[in-house]
Amino acid sequence: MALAFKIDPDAQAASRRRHLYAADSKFDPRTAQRNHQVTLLPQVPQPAQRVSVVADDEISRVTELPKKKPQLPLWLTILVRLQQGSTLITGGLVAAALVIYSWTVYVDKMVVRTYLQLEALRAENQQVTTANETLKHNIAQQAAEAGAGLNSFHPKRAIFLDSAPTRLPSSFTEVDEAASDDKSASDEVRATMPYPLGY
Amino acid sequence: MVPISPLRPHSRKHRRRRRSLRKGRMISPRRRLVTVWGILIVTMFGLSAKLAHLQLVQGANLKALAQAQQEIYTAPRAARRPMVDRQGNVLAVDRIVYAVYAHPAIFNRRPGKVAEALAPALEKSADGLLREFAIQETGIKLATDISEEQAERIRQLRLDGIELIASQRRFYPQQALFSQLVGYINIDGEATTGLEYSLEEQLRYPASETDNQRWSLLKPDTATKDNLRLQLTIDSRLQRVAQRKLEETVIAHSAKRGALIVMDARDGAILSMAMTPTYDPNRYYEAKVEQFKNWTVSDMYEPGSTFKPINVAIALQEDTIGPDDYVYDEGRLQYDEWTIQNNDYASVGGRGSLSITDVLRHSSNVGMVHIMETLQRSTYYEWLSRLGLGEITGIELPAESPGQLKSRGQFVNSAVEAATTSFGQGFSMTPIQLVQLHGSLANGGKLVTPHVVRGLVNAENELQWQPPRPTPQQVFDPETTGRVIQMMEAVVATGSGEAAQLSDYRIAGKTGTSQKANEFGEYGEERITSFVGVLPADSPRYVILAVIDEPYGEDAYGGSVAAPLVKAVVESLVVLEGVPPLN
Repeated sequence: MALAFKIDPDAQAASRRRHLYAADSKFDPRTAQRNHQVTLLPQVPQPAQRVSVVADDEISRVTELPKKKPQLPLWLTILVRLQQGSTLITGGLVAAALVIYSWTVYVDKMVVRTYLQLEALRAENQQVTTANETLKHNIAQQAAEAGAGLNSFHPKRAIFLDSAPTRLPSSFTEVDEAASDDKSASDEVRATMPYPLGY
Repeated sequence: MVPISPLRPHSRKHRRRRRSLRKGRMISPRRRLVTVWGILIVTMFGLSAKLAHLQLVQGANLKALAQAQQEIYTAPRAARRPMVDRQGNVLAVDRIVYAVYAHPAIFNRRPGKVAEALAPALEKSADGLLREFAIQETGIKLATDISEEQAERIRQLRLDGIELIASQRRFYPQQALFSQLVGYINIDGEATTGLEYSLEEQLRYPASETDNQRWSLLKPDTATKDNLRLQLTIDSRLQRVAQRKLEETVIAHSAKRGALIVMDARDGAILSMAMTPTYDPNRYYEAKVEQFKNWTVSDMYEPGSTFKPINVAIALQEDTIGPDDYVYDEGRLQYDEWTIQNNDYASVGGRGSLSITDVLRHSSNVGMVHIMETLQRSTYYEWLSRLGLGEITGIELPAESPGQLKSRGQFVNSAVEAATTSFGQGFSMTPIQLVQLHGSLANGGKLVTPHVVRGLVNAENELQWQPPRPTPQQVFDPETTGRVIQMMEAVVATGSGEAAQLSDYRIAGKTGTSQKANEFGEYGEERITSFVGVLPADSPRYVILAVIDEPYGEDAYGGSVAAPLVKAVVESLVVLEGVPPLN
């Protein structure tokens, strides 16, 4: 394509004049013209003005700059990903550490409290036992005295019973003579009464 | 005109600053970096120095502070396991008691008011307390052994300057009932008598670091107090009955002392061991010293006629006599300078020909001499050693005496020794050993170890530890012992032991009245009466021995003093143990 510079001679001259004269605030071009005291500076080389460089045939279309991020090398990418992952893991571990720490403090507090409860229960148990035993002894002693009106042991006043053979609980309706001979069957037979009989 | 670049700055202020900065000091980035680094390094060193200071200089102090914060003060813990009887009634247990201290320096009321408030709680007079407050400013011990209820009342008073210090003290709820068995703990926490002393290792809890009442999270108490108890084989209901009846008998006959032992012959478990006089272990300081010992295991006596059934068993076992043989009873024998005669020789004289059963029934000394004459003296001596005479029985109670038997040479070479031994004099044994020997007659010939301790049991009554005992040895045949028991039954049915009869029960027994040796080594006037019973005679199970020492009166014999006592105890024994009558 051919480069072309658009030069506007009139605009150029006008702008030059503006530059030359506007720096000095005392100078007014309208009054300067009347005074004819215009001193023109020697011609300075014009700085290049910004112009658009376009192709002749593409001057109407606008091309956009590529928006792609700069391509990093692979090791750097991996490192960055590693750093992000380890940051996440560290955050998680810190949170977990805090949780575990506070849990241990709670557990310690509970241990102390429960231990004190245990000690208090032990002391109470001791106290109740001694009071109970003292009471039993006093009652027995009082009962043994003659004026209590209680009889001492004597076989004539006692009823002797033979202990019944132990039986497994069986159904109320069945007479489990057959089942009691067969031990395995009686193991399976369970009481079918939902509640004991009121004797 | 100043050449101006189109990119000039806009503001005037910035222009000025740029001018002034241009004059001189502009801090380079490197200098900034060094400054920051320097500050951080200094901070780091400062922290390290503080850390070193805290750890090295103040370390010990801070550790003590932390420990003091982390430890908690607990109440004093029990030092010994409780002791329970066969049914689980507690015989000995630790109990928290308080000592009351007064510090008059920090009273918030006048001492008079404090004394008035405390007097009913401590059961002392207010004037006495006031005088005690005047002794010193702090640390006045007002009372010890204050129970929990009294301590609660004192705490309710909310008095400043009154301090309660807790400690554990052994408490015996049954008071005087088991005192010689259990023993006592003195004020220093030491035991010197009874099972508290002999089984101290099993009774003490294993020592832990927290016995000084400070419990720390860093050293948790891993040696926790377990729930084991020492269970005895004693039945406290039977013990109560036996003690009461024994005391009644001893008082009725003005005796010096008495003892009653009930043993289960099958395994040697002792159901009751009653002694009198006795003491309250809670107030051991009020007792006489001779009451502390358990004289059924530590005092020896000559068994007398109660040993005769055992001699008959020896002779039957050796087969030198038969159960239906007859011996001649002259009534009196002379051995050099010693005379041996029957108890009733003065009234009855010689009885003539007697069966073995009659010898026991009438308790004829001369008959026994003739029975044991059939044995060789060396064989007889071997038998006595095999039965354990002169050795201890191995019961767990402390201070057991082994009994005395003459030496083999002295026994074998002298005829009178064997003669006196045949009716139970000339040697000595403890009452518990006699019970053991009669137990062998009762259980079919096995020499069991009498014991009072079942072992350490947990809360579900499971045995965790048992004291080691040797296996019982068979010394007699069951036929021999069966015959001897039959003969002993005749003693109770028609012989000297008639006072021990109980209707509907077959009781076998033997009376014993022996002279006691006085301090000169001669036989004096005093006697020791005893009766041993075996029940029920058809399948013997229980052996009961009653020994009454020095009953008063000429007519005090085993049959009149000890046999009624045994009957009274047997009445309760059959009900408590469920021994059914014959019908």
